[in-house]
Amino acid sequence: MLAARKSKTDGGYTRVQFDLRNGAYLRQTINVSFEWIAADGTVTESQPNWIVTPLEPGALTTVTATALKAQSAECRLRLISR
Amino acid sequence: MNKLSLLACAVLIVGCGTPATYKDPSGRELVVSLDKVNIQDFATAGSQMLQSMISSPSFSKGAPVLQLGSITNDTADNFDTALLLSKLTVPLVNANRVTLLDNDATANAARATSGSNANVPRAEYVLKGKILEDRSNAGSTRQSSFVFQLTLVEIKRGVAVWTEEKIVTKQGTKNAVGF
Repeated sequence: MLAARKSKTDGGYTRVQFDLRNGAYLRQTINVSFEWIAADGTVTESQPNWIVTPLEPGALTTVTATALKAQSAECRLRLISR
Repeated sequence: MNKLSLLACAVLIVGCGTPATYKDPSGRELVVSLDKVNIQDFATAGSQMLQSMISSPSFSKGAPVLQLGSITNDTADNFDTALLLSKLTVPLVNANRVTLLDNDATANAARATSGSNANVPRAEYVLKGKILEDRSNAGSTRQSSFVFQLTLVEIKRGVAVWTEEKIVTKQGTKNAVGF
């Protein structure tokens, strides 16, 4: 992971962005999923599926997620690569 | 003796099949088919489109009134397009990000009988779309691409305020299990 950014939309919802790069010499399939957490620590939203992102060697991708609920304050990125 | 051995082998092979088990529908051990849209393809395309849609200015504030339009299935595979739409509408409705107009006959009748003075929301946007496919092969390697297109139309002005296209491409020689 190269970078993680957090911002707010015009409506006040939290938006996160992660820059991911395949640093290996082989093609990788990255599976990404997001989970949103409120300020009190409770999980407010969880994505029911993995987003499959094939990445060529050296390729860079940016994944973005916007919270659906106003109380979602923090984001947990779940990442599996193969 | 040879016949008995062959029979024993056949029984062994038949007995070695994988029995059916329950799998997590959001997991990574699902069947990946080359010739059809899998349940996880709807989930992938739907969640990516949902993220794109809620980032559009139309969804920045309040809960716009949304009506579902037609989603055309232009693939050779027969499936219900609600599989895609539900990936968008379920999270949006449950998070109070849209007011979804019910489209069935009962709802329409209720709207008609309540008259113009009633507090019945009117649709501001219509969501419509199309699902297409493209197939090609090189030798024994087959490739299937399924194109999911959605457009959000503002009824008042009759213009598209958001549109998105997501492509799910699968390649291989045979169906497999896993991502």
